[in-house]
Amino acid sequence: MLRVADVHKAFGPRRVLRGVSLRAAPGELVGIVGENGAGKTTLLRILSGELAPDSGRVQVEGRIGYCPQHPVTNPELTVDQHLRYFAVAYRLRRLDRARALIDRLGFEQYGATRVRHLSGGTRQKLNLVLSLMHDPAVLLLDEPYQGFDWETYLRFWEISAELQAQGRAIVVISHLAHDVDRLDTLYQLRAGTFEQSDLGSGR
Amino acid sequence: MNAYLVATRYSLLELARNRLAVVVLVCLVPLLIWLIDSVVTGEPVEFVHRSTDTRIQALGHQVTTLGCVLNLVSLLVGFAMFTAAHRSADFDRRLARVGYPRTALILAKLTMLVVASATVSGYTTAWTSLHWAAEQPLALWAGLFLGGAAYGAIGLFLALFLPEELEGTFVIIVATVVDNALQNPIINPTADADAVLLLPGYGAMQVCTAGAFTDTVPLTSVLLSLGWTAVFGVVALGAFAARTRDRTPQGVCGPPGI
Repeated sequence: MLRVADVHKAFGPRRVLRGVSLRAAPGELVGIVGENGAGKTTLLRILSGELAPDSGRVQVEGRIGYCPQHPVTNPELTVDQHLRYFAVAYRLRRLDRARALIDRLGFEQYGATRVRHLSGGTRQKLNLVLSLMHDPAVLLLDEPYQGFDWETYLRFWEISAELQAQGRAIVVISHLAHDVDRLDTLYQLRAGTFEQSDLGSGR
Repeated sequence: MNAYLVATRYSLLELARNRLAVVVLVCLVPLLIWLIDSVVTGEPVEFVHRSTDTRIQALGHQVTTLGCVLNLVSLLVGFAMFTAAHRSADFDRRLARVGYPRTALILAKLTMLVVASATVSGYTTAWTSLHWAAEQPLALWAGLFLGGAAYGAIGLFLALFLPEELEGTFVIIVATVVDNALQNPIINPTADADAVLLLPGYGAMQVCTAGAFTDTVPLTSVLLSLGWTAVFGVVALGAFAARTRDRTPQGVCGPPGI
């Protein structure tokens, strides 16, 4: 469960968020759309704890999985080395879930490959796996399918639907019109505040 | 402990994969020492060793070698630490935010600094010893180690705010060259200006010179050099700790998965 109430954030004189509120219940898929520079990424960084809001309240129940917009990986390390690093961070004894996700996203053959030598799309797949491998209760995904081919894009939405069915709350930043029918709730970020559209269960 | 071991292993792996630094170390050190031995005069030169307040007479090519290898060690370790910290900055922050013990990450960086300084200094001391015998080879190694560690810490510090690798590398090159030139016994035989004391490489140069030509080790110079390492190291690693401090939203159970 994620609850956000009246969050404000400014960078110098530029007020990016002016009282943003939203809610994502277990099993709910929430989309956030907005023009470039509208503050979508700033909001997600606040929700993940990466950035502090100037004011407002963010409440999260359970662990968060945050997939940043651009892959944050180490180019000198291999895919497997990334998994081992994050297993320590998440206190995971096994990598079964990470391996299963890698299989689903179709890059199991790159375990021993350094990230430096991966394509942009494969880096993004790894970025996504690193944010999901500890089975978080709340997922914050910032345009997580950038660079994916069509098949992987569809597989991403399959995984999202499964996670929803398992009761995970998912917030995804999207700018693609054809994603809209997959969402339960759509928030449009304009001038630092939300306009909400209740889409029902259109999936 | 496991977190420290994993972070250290991968940090050292990352360091070893810095091909440019490895090639410069392996090839340039012997080439430089051989060139100096071949080109620079073997006539004796006299200079004041400030920290022990003694006059030292040494062969010109030996004094030149000391200045150049200290310069190279400082530059190499500074460059290696800057690039390692710069390339992994966002990744380290992500790891820390998802719950990786920050102390383990910080200790891994310190281990990387010590290992890089010790290795580069050891290799350089070995090549120097093939050409001429220092009075105290261990002290010569220690002096080079101190110079490497000081500039390694400066590299970590510069990685905090310099946006590009080129800028960091340029700053480290300029700093080490100026530092070395101002206190080089041949260029500045008396080196009696107090400002020289403030150079990050001063302590290291004093220890190197003592190790090469005397039977003493100036402890104050050792401490002075360690002071530079400590100041820049504390600022750099303190900034890392501050940047990754917990801003977890209320009600979160366990670390977030960034």
